[in-house]
Amino acid sequence: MNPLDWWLLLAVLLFCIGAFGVLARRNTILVIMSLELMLNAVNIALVAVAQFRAGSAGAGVLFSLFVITVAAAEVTVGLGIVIANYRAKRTVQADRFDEMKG
Amino acid sequence: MADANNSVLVILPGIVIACTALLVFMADTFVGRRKEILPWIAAAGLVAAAAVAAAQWLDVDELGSLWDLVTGRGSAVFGGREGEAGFAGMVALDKFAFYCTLLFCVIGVLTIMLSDAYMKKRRDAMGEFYGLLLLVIAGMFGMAVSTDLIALFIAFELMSLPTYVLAGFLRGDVRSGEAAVKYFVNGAFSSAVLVFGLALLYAASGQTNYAGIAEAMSGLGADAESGLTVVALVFVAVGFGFKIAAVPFHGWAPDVYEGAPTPVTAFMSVGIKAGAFVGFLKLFTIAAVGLGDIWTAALTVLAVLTMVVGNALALPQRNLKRMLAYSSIAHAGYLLLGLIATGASLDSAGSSAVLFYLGAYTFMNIGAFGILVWIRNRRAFRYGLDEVAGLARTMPWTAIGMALFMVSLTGIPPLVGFWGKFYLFTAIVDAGMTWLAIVAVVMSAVSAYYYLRVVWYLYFREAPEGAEVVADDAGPALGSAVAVTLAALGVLALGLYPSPLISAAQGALRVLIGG
Repeated sequence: MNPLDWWLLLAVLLFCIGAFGVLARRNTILVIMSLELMLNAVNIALVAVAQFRAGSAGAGVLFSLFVITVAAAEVTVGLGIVIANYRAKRTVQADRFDEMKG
Repeated sequence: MADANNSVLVILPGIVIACTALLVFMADTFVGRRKEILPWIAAAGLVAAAAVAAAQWLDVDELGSLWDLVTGRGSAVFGGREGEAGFAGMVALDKFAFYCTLLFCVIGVLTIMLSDAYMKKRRDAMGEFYGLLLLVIAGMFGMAVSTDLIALFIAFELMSLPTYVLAGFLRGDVRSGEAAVKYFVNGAFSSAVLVFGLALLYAASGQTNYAGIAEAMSGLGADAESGLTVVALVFVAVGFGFKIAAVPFHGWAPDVYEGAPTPVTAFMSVGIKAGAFVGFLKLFTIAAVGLGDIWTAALTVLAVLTMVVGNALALPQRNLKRMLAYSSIAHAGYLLLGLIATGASLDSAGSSAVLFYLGAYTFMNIGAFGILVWIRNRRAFRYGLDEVAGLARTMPWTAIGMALFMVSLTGIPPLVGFWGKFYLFTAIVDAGMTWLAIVAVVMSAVSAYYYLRVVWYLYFREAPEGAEVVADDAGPALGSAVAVTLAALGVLALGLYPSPLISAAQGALRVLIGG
């Protein structure tokens, strides 16, 4: 395999770990951390492609900068929502959010 | 390549919307107790943005195909000035974007009017509400103009992040909070999946520009359909499926739609869906046009599941808000048919049917949710089906409106919902996928059960005890009444005379699939 494939493999693995965390974790703080992991996997893929693939230098790096920025905004919103809910329900466990069903 | 001035010209409607959002946030701190002015500022900003877009539309002397615009071979001429793809090809102005901008502004103004009943009781939070709403609309505008993966991602997030906050707008209300958490976790997860798909698409083609991707893919020939490309497109389709609540990625939708404030639910079910659809329509039909086989197959699976499961789950619902949530899932399934038709036949009929349907759906669904807001404004109401029984006697006009929207959502002529479905189903038949159209028609017939059941309750059931009209503390909300009336007029007028909207939708697409 060429170097890019190894980097993409790393990105896929990291992404899967993050996705597993989002799906399996019940603590919303840990869910947000897992989301960050997924976005960082994206960054690795983008920067690796920019480095190793011919004819695509700038865009990937630029893209990863935007992903970093958006990830920060996303965490801010997410933590705000979690804190607002903690004030109302005194819990951050996702499975306690079960008011609505069906 | 365009110079800076033209770049600004390209996204001028979006700039107007975003600046109005900031103005609303700032004005919020200065107006003191006179918060009633904030919705007017927000609505004025949207009208101004719509006027800019309309003026640009009329000012276009000659518009090359979007394909030419993106690749830099052609240009649109605005009253003598050239205005084409801006910001190094990240965004491109075309009739498609004009149509979508006008649609989004209509959605925004209707939502602002609709939330009148709601915000009267929550005056302190008016600034945040209208400001965030405008930011979402700015993001939706970005979805319509972006022609680059980076711009698409930013627009997607700008559209999503404020919506999470709006869903949880009732601070202290456990249901609204729960809706926000569920929407945030699902939404952020889907964004991550989407952006990973975009990164893989970039890895497969080496380009982030739509036209560049399409050229790189066609250059690769048979190698283009590699595993990497397939995975990339599937990831993009999954991220998109989450946003439009397509089955099997719909799990969040009923809870979020039920828990969120009703005007926000109306906005999410129409606006976010429209924004997602136009963004992905552009991505799929320009960047991935040569890979139609792959994403058409993925979307066909999504469409069938969405239509069948969405309608089936809506059948037993006795909470009207939840019923409309499931029905909105089913409508996403119908809309997917338009994308599939475009991918299968490379003909613009499917895409213009999507644009027409988004317009039609705006009026009927905002109207349906608006009726719920209005009833709740007039008396105690917890969105139960039993509670609207006999409404024809206590609130006759409201009952007529509700019946109108339900019949239109079912797709019965002469209302606009019929034309929307007619064009979608015709497009899919013309694309040679008749079986899919048959599934859609059968599921529409199934949907008649739960839509017309509401009409049955309105007119042929006795009213429950205590259903008489009681004045709301804050008085009747005229804005909500006007919004519902406008939506009803839209459903009726466009149903009887749909050709203006149809020709606009077709004109918007004529440039999209030119190359």
